[in-house]
Amino acid sequence: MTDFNSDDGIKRMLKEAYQPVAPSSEFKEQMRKRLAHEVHSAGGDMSPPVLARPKLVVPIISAIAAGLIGYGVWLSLNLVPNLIS
Amino acid sequence: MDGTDISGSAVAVNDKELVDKLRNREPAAVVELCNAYFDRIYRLVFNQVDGDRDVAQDIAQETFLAAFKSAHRFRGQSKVYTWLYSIANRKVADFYRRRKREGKHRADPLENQVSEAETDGTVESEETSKSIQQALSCLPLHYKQVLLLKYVEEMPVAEICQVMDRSSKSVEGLLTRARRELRSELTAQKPK
Repeated sequence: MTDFNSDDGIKRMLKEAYQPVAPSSEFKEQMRKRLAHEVHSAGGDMSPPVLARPKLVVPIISAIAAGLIGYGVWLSLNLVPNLIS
Repeated sequence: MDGTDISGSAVAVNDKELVDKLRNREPAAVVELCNAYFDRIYRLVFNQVDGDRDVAQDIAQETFLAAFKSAHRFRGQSKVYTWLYSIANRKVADFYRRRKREGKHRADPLENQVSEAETDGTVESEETSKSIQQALSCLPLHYKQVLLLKYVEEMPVAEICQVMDRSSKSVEGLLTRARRELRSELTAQKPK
């Protein structure tokens, strides 16, 4: 048996015992088809969350900010004068 | 980074471009990811599940689907293959947990591995290899994982840390204990 007391011995021993293996070409083909199918069939579920899409974040945040500012202006114009009077 | 094509030939992969495509959820990216890294991931999983080909195929496939689903969370701070290895490692751990929960016994999957090695015709001593595989299969999963990553995949400790989500001190300690345990298993197997 190989010397397994040294680091090199362990490496040599494991490398010999675990030769490179590869999946069969039929399996690879099947898997590629299945992955493509699952990715397409998942459709909407696969799209990233809204906040993970940079192109959408800016308009959404701008719209919310504009809405809040508008609401604040409306409040100041309508409610505050009523309270004072 | 170089990868191996799903059909067996070598392809050059630009990790940055690939990450961008994945984060944009381009369906073609998953095929590109497979072309580049499937063989490496399959080999890693195959060794971790003691040469059970069916289980290795299932887990490798799950790994790529999970990678695609979680691609928007990948920030590109590690290499693509270390990210894939970490997903694969978790999938293997899930598999062992599930099997333990279901109370299933292993049906000597090492038989499969020996027959694959025979077809390659590259194993010097089948008996020695089998006893080493047997010894490794007796170790706890995290010992087996760290030994395979370090000595078979020849991964630097810094990358093993990313794959196993541990500090370098923890990985070094794990390696020391795993080596000690492997030696003790092999010694126990030696004919008296």
